[in-house]
Amino acid sequence: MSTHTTTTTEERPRELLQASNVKKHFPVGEGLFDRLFGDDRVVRAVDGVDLTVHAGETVGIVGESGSGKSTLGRTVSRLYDPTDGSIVFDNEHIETYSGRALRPIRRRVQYVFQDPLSALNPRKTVGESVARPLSVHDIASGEEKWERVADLFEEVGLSASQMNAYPHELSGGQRQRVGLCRALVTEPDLVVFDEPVSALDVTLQAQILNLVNRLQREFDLSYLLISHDLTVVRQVCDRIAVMYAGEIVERGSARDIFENPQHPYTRSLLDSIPQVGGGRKSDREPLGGQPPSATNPPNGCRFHPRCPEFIDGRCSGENPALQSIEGDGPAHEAACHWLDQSEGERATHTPPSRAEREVIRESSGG
Amino acid sequence: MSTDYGESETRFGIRIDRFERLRETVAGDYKATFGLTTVVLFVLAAIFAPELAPYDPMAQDFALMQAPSLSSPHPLGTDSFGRDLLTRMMYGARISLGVSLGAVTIGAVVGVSLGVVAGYVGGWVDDALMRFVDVLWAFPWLLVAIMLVAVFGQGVWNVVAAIAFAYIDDFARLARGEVLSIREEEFVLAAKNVGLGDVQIMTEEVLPNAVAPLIVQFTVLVARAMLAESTLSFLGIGVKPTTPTWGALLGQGRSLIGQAWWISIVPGIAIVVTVLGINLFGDALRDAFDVRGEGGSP
Amino acid sequence: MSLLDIEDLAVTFPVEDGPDVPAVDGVDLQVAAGEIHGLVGESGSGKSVTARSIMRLLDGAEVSADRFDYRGEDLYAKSEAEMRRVRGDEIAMVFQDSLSALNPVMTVGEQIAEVVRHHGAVDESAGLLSELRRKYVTGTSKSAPSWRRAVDLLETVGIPDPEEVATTYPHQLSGGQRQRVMIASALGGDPSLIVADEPTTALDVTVEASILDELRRLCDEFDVAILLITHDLGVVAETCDSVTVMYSGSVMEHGRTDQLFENPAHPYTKGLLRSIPDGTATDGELTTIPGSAPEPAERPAGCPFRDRCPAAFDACTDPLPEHVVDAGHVARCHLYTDGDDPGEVSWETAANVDDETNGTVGDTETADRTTPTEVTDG
Repeated sequence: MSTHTTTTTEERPRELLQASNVKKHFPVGEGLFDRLFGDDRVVRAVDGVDLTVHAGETVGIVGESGSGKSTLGRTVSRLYDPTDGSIVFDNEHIETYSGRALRPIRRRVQYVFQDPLSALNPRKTVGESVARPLSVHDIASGEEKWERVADLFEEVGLSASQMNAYPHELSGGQRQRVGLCRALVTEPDLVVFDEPVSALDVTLQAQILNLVNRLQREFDLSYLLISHDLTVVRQVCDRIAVMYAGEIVERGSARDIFENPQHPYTRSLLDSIPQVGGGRKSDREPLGGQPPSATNPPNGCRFHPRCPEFIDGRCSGENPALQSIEGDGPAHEAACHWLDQSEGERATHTPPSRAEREVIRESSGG
Repeated sequence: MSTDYGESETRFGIRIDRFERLRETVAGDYKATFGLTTVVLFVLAAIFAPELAPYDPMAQDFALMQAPSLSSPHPLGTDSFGRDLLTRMMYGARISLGVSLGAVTIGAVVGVSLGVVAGYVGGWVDDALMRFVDVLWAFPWLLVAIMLVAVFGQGVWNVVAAIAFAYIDDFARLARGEVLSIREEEFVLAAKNVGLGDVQIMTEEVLPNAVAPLIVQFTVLVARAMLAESTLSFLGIGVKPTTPTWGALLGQGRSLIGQAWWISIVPGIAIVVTVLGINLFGDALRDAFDVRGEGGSP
Repeated sequence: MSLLDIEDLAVTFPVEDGPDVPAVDGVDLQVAAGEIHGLVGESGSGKSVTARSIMRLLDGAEVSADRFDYRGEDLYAKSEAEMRRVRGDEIAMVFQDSLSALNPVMTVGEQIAEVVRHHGAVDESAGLLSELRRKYVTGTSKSAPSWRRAVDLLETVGIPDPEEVATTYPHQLSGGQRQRVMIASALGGDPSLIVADEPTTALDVTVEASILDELRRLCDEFDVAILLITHDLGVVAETCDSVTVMYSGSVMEHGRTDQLFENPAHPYTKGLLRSIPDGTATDGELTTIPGSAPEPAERPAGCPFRDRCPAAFDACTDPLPEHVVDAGHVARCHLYTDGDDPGEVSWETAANVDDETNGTVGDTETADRTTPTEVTDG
C-alpha cells in the first residue's frame, strides 16, 4: 500500500483524473424502431459519479454486480463513451474525444481486464499481444520492441521464452501477468484494474497483489482498482469508494471505510465478508432482497428497500447526496439521511420488520 | 538479452509455425494426406496438361471411336468423336478446377469483406450491406448465368462470375455471424484499449478468429462450384461447346451410359475424388489454424 | 456413524496418447450425518473430482478406493439403475453455475416439480408419457401435489413470493435466487446428503452470506448433511462443522473447523491462512506461498507440497503419513513423524515471492531445508 498522504495545500499531489457527474446509460431497445416507438428505457449503469485520482495514489471502487463499477472503470478510461458528465485527464477534457484524439490518451491510461484468457487474442502469441501497443503508438520497433517486451516479462516474474506461448498454454496467474505487461508496456500514468485477482486462487492473489504494489512504486503509477472483494481493496488502496446502483454511496480513506463505515450498505457489505477469525456469525442479519432494477431504480435513496435502517418517508422520498463526516480523514463522505440525525437517534431507531419491508419493496418498485 | 524469442520467423508474411502445424496435421492424418495428394495431383495434371497429355484434346481418331478404357493406346478410352479421354480429362481439369477454385475465391473475398464490415460496424451499415447481399441472393444464379451469356456470350469468365455471384451471400452471412459473436469478446475491447483502429481490429483480431468455419465453407463450395460448372456446361450456357470440362464430359456421356459408360463415369469419379480430397484437406487446414486444439472433425 | 465414508480414493483420467492424469491420489473423506463438511482446496487440488466421484458422475475415469460407503453400502458396487435411485433420493448435487445447471426452457417450478415426482414421496405418475405430456402440452397442473411441493420448497429456501417465482424462467432470476432454486431442487428428493460444488463462488458477497446462512439453517432444521466444496477459507470458517484440506490430489489436513483454524498443523494450511489479506500486512507485502501447484503428471513422489514447502526435508519423498494432532484432527505431514511438534513454520516473505517462472520455489532466504525451522509466525 503506498504511503502517500496529502500534506499542505502547496504539496498536494496533482489530480491526474477527475470525473464529474459521469453517467453511462445503455439503451434497452435495439435498433431505430425500438427507440422511437417502443422501448426507450435505459439501463442506468452509472448515474452521476464524481471521482478523483491523484498522481501516485490507488483508488478503489467497491461494489457488487450491478453496481456499475466496471462500467465506471470503462467509461473513465474511455473504452465507452460517457452519456453525460466530464472526464478530465491531466487537464484535458477527454469526454468528447474520439478515434484519433484518443490515441495519445490510450498510451497513458491503460486497462487490465478481469479474465486474462478472454482478454487476449487466442490467435496471437502473448509476446505479440504485449508488443502491439509499442507499434501502435510508435514507441519502438523491430529488435528494440522485442527487447522491451522481454524485459517487462522478466520484471513481472515470467520468463522471456514464454513470449512465444499462446494464451491457452499458460496458467491463470501467468496470463494475468501478461495482462499486466500489456498494460504497462506503454509506460502509462494511470492503470485501471478490473477485478485483477478474482479469477485466481488465494495464494496467487497474494502474489499478484504484491507484484502490483511493487510495480506502482517502481514505475510511479496511479491506480484505479475495481473489485467486489473488500479484503483485496483494503490491502492495496489508499482511498475507497463504495458503489451501489450506479452511484457512490460512501467514500473515504481505506481506514475510514473499514473502521468507521457510515452508510448502511457499506456496513452490510463489511458484515457479509466470511471471516476466518470470526467464528460462526449466527447473529448477523444478511442483507435481504436483490439489487434494484437498473432501468427503474427505486425512488429516493436507491438502497432504501433493503436498508436495515430505513426511515419511512424520508428515505423513500429523497435521494441523499454525499455529505462529509466530521472528524475523519480526507473527505470521508457518505450519502445517507442518518448523517443529518444524531448518533443516538440512529442507534435507537427500529428498522422495519421483514413483512413491512415486503410492502415497502412492492410500493417503491425497486 | 537475445531477441530470438520475439519475432517468429516469417516467410511471405505467413508465420512459419503455422506451416509446421499444417504439415504435422496432414502428415499425421491419412485422410488429409490423401486429400492433399489427390488435389495436388489433379492440379499438377491440369497445369502441365500440354506437356503431359498423350494426345491433342481435339484430335479425332476415327478408327477408335468410343473405345473403352484400358484399350491401348487410349488408357481411358475415347469419346464418340474419337478424342482421347485422358487428354480431355487433363485439359478439362484446368477449367473445372480453375473455375471452381477461382469462383469460390472471388465469392469468398467479396463475401467475407462485406460480412466482416457489416458484423463489426453494425447499425445502418450492417442493415444496408445485408440488404444488398439479400438482393444478390435473391437472384437465381442460373438466371444470372443466362443473362451473362446473353450479354457477353459463352466463355469461362462468365461462368466464374455467375458462380462467384451465387456464393457471395453464403460467405457474407457466415462471416457476419462469426464476427457478431467475436466482437463481443473481451480481447476486442482490449485491442481498442491498446489504441488499435477499427480496420486494424477487423483484420488482426476479428478475422483470424473467424476463419475456421469459413475454411470449411470454402471447401464445401468448391465442390458445389464444380457441379455448378458442370450444370452450366451441360445446359450449354457455360463454356464453348467443344471445350472439355469435367462437367461437359459428364453431360456428353449421359446418353451413352449403356454403351460407353466410361465417358461419364471417368469424369464423375474425378469430380467425386476431387471434392472429397478438398473436403478432407480443408478439415486439416481448419484444424491446423486452430491454435487451441479444440474442435475435431465433423 | 459416518454417512459417507471414503478411504484411499484414487481417480485417474486416461488420456489419448499421453500418460494418465492422476487427479486424486489417496483421499480419505468422512461426512457425518447432519453436519456441514467443507472440502477446501485451490484449483487443481482434486476437490471437484472427489465430489463428482460421490455421485458417480465421472464418465471415463478410473475410480478405485478401499472403501466408498454411503450409509454402510458400497456405492461403487451398485448398478447404474440403483445409482439412479441414489442420485436425487439420497444424495443430491448443487452446482456452481446455476444458469447452465438449470434447464432454460422450463420454468423453475416445473423443474422442481419434476424432481419431486421422480424422487420424492408424491403420489403422482412420473412415467414417460405423462412427462412428455407435461413437457409439451399441459405443463404441471397448479393443483398437482408435485407443484405444491415445489412451491413449498421455494418458500423453504427463502424465496419471497414462491407462487409467483415458480412460474418464472431461470434467466429471469438473479444469481442468488437461482442458487436457491438449485438448492430447492436438490431438496426435492429429500436427500440425506447434499454435495454443493462451489455454490457461492459466483455470487456477490452479500448474496453469498444469505445463501450460506440458508444452508446452515437447512442443515440444522432438516438434518441434511452437506459436503461444501469451496476454495474460500472464510466460508469454511463460518459455515462448516468440519473441514478437509486438499492439495494437488491429496488430503493435507482434516478435522473440526475450530481445531483446524485455531491450531493448523500442516504447512500448507498455515500458508493458506496467511495468504488471506486481512489488512494487517505491513508495507503492503502479503505473505504468500511462492510458486504454483504442480500439474498432476508432474507431481513429485511423496508429499505433493514439498517443492513449495519451506520446511521440506529429506523424509518428504516418502508416502504421506497420518499424524493425529488431536481427536479427529489429522495432519499428513512428515514434520510430525517424530511425534513432537516441530515448532512454527517460517513463512517470511521471500525476495521474489512473485516469481512464477517455474513451478518450484524461488530462492527463499529461509532455505534451510534439511531441518524444520523455528521462527514464530506474526
